Amino acid sequence: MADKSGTGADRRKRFEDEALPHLDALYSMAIRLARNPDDANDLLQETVLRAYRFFHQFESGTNCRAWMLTILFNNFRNGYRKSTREQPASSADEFERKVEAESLRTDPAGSNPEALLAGQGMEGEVETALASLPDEFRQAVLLVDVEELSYQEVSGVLNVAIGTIKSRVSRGRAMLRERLTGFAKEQGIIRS
Amino acid sequence: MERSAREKVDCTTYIEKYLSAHVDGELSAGELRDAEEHIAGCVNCRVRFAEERAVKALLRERAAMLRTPPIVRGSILAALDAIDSADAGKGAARARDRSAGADRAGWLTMRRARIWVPAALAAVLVFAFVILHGGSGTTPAQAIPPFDVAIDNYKQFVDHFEPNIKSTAPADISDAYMEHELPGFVWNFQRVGYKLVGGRVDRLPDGTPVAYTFYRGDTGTILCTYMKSHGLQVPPRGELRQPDEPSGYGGGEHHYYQYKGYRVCLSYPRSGCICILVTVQPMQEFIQDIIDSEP
Repeated sequence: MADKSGTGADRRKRFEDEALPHLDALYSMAIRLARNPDDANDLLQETVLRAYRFFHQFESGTNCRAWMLTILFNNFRNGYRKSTREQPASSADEFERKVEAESLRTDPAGSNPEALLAGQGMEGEVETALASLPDEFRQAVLLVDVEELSYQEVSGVLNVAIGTIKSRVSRGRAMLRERLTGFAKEQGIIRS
Repeated sequence: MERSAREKVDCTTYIEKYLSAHVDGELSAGELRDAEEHIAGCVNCRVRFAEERAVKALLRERAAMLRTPPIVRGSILAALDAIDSADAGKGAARARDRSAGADRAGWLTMRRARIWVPAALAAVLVFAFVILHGGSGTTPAQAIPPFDVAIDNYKQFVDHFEPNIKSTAPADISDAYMEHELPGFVWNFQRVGYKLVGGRVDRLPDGTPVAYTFYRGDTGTILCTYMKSHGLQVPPRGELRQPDEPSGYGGGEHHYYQYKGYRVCLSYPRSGCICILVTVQPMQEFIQDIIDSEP
């Protein structure tokens, strides 16, 4: 049963105890979705504030990280409000125009991942390999392996059937394994 | 996934269908037995299992969690403080309102929905929910009330859909839905040629909130309905059809039906809620549209 009671101070304390510990996990995902630090910060801020607003709907004891990641992905897909640099979409038409403009502007996966993530402490073969995956495979693998969610939870976060999640994780890891083979052989993780 | 006692898992099947879930601990008891049995007798697959586990561990290690920059963290905390002070100010006003019986969810700001539900349907809703919820194992009711709600509204909306959420921006529609404890996910069918017309939040006869998102394209229309699940179990097959999942896994979380001449897709996007998609498009097209729109 969601906790609807409690004073403002209680809610803030509960939020700091249960939700804010996941801030880094959210930021890590935000940056991979938004692909630049400014947008990632906006996405993260909007997500945390929205989570705070609806925190009374969160059932204490269930997976708070999964709950907040659901909000993050919804925000990302719905078109989160970027900072005053840009006005939010005020209609479905405008939203569609923005999404289209955005997809033309954003680097396609793999075009220059190192430059994108350089200075974030994410250089390296693993990040390069990850960035080269199609979005839906990369997201599924990140949610399972880095964010440590169950397939059921990932299914809720992405609003996609469990069978699809299984398939995306399987194919995503297979692609990673292929791309990392050289690197892994060096490290002795995979035998030739 | 069902396997007969005699059928064993071969390598191709193990790698394509079991491996990842095996490493992630996501196999059912029966599937786990089959998987363990297979790798016990197969060196190659045992090696693949170890490699997959190593890739997983490598990701955990190297695709590290980033630290949120202190400035960003600070700005978030400041925004939370601002919300808290604003709420503290409103708190006194709200306490007065609560005792006067005003609606917590700001329902008063929404235009009253046209009362379209005849008394007879309302009775069916209550009666049939009891049947489905009771679950005694006897023949389920032919009518599935949530589906009836969805298709009755669909019929009306095809003629004319009047949003009662002012903005047609998905973010705002999502907010309105979440205010009423309904899922905040807004389907995007743009890729398959449907435009989002708008959203509505109404009340069902039992007082619970229901959300409608309507989409219109050149070739047809789709209605997405969100409501509380009231313990609705996945309706059984029989007259109802279910497509095979492409990967061969039985039962994902999208359930497709032919229902009273409409195509219906049922899913459970959020604890305690159901999503019902309705269209008159042919089933295969409908399934493909949903797959192509998946995020």
